[in-house]
Amino acid sequence: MEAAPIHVATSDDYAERRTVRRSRSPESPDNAYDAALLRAFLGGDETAFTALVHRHGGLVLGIVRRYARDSDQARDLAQRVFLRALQATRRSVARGDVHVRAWLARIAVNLAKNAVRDSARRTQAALAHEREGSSSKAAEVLDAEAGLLLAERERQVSAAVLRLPRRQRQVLALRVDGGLSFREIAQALEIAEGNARVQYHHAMRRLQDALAAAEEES
Amino acid sequence: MKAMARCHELEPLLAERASGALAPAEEARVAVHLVGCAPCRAEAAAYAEALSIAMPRLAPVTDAELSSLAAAALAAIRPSERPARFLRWWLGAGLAATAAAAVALAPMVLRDRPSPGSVSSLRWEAPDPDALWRAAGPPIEDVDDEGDAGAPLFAAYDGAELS
Repeated sequence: MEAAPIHVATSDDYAERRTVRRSRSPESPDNAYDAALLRAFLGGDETAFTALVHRHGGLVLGIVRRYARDSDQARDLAQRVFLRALQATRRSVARGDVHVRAWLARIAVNLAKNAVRDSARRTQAALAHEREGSSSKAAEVLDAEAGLLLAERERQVSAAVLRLPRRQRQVLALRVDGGLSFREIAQALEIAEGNARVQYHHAMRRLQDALAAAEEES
Repeated sequence: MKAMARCHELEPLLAERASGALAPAEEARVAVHLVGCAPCRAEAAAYAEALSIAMPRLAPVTDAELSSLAAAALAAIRPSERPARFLRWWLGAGLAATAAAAVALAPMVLRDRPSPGSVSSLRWEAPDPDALWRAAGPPIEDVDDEGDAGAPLFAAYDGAELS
């Protein structure tokens, strides 16, 4: 079988995510290709597993590393996601009912949540050096007092993400970090697409309120 | 009034626009509206700012990270679950389970059964407890622990020194 184009959602460009979203659907041949890779792996071809990781590793890492302490923990989390997905999909391969991407997304967002709960801390600071531009807005502010206020505002808005209801946080993570369409989010979380949109809007509204509250305080 | 209705209609799209979720047609529709609507521009900017602060974009995942992840995941798969061995194990386990089930069910399948015509005449009768008791055979005698008092394993609990 000829390899399908690798659709790895990255977080560097939201416009690129739109392209990824439109290229994928439940009827997409991607699912058939994933199923073929899984069968090949279960038949002894380890390169098929590597191909699966390269196809969907961007999605998984994109979701889990937001909550990871460092890149090593992010890789460990992503590894657990793939192993759990492997366990889940083995039973479905024979039936041809394979939705690797949806399973990976669901497992990743749940594991990421557990990572937050277990470590009781969110370590965006540890990953700050990996952020785009390698500089936060606060670091760009020369005035120390204004920088502290800005940093406090960032802290408050970031903390608002963790205070979101579970479903809202899941939808937001799958949309922003995973780059999934609302249709894919609905499939991953086994909810209606309209529900996914509503959860997203509620989450965005809460973040906006958190930003407004932080600005009022400062 | 008409402009207000349009704003209300487009408000959900502003939130989705912040994460790049709009289709091109929707994006164009919103862009045209934003040109002439300052409140919606402010709303769109607020969504974008809140999202960029709450969930700042991370650096793209590199091929090296993916290769490292693939290698780590493969190494973590236990040898018994590696593909070919895994399939052989499942095949063997399936055959063993089938054989065990056949042995367990054989007496039920092979025992004498009433003819189909006589089934309707069968009735359930309360079992006789005394008959069941006799059929169970003699009771199992209690193990006499006193007779094993000299066993090394239990001697330790009696304060005796092990040899």
